[in-house]
Amino acid sequence: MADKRGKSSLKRFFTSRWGPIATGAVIGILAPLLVFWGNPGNMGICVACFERDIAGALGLHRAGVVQYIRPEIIGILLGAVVAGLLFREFKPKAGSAPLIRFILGFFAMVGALVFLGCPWRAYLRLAGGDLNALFGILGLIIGIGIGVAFLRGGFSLGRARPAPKAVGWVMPLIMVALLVLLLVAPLFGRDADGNPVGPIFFSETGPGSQYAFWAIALVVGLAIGFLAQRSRFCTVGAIRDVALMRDPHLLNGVIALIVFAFITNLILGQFHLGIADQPVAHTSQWWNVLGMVLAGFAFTLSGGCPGRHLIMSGEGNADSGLFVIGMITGAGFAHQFSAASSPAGPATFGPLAVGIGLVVCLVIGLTMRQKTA
Amino acid sequence: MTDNVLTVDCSGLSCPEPALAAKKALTSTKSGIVEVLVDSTTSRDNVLRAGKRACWAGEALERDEGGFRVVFRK
Repeated sequence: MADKRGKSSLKRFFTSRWGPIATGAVIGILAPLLVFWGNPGNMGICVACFERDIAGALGLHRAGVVQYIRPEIIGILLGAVVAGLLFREFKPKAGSAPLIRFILGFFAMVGALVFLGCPWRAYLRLAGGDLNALFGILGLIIGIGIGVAFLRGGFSLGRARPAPKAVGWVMPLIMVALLVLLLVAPLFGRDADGNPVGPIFFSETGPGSQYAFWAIALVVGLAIGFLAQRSRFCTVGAIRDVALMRDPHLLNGVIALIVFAFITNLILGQFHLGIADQPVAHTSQWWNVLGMVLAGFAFTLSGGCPGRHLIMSGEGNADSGLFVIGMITGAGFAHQFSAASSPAGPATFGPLAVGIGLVVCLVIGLTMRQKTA
Repeated sequence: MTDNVLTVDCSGLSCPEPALAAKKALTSTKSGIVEVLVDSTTSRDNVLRAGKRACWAGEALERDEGGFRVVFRK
């Protein structure tokens, strides 16, 4: 009885206005701590970067400095599974334009990798004093604004339908498989030069070689996934809902994230105000803006930020699962086709990839519509 | 104002479509009662919040077939 009451007041707290604020605050504290414990600078958590690292670890791209199976991603998704099961919100569903969602995930990743971060990291970079992030956030707002215009005009990816339990368990089980691969790290041998031939690749230098101890990262991910599932925390919905509905419910969470990350960075001595020489960042502002225009546009058409898609995958939403797989695939392509930026600036084909992505998103925005009433 | 019930079926739609459709219906309808069908607690809460902002009193009822019926009265 007491347990039931406790669960119900917990339920109310997290769906109240305090839910996103508490979630943002917890992420704001834990993300800089992860940097303190070993993650790359201003990259306590970056859903895009970490999925890109996973793509690299699986050999989907060969950028040797960004290959690692990030336990945070596994934790966030599985934390949402736990919360979903506990609160009866694990409801497998599928069938809302799956292939379009894959493509949106693909190009959202391309845009994020031109900027060098997802919306979570854009806010975390700002909270670490990286002023280049302001350009990324500006681009994010523009991209979300374009998406909102399409939503107002009747854009819809159509209805998902309830699906068998097995459909909902695919993404959680893929995460379990990734965890096994992280811990076992199979290696089939080395080539003549002594380089590992895979199948799993872990960076020996660069951001991919910087990580907190896996169990800590996993537990932090689980906690964040649990809280974000309860509060529906979303870093794209935050801006979208203000533009579309004048509703600051989710935005409060993002503000809490920035404030708490800023304070935690100050305490840990990780706050460095400036533009030049920021960790895993470049100063090519046009492409910081345009990369995030593409990402924000694609995220908005897809219905949420990359973290939110991990959470929804954990609730059994297979369409979000495909969005996540689209992002991981996009990361592989972005690096293989020299479209992902580096601290030196945009790569050769980054601008072209952003252009293609924007055209694809515009076509999707113009052609996908469905009567809702 | 009439007592005709306007039903908006938002089941299976992803964010922010249910809340947006609810807002559109509530701000343009002449009906005294608007009911919005959704399939998730997230959409239920978002639709309730949208209704509150449009100054309608809303109440969510569980449906036998799963999901919720959010009923708004002016």
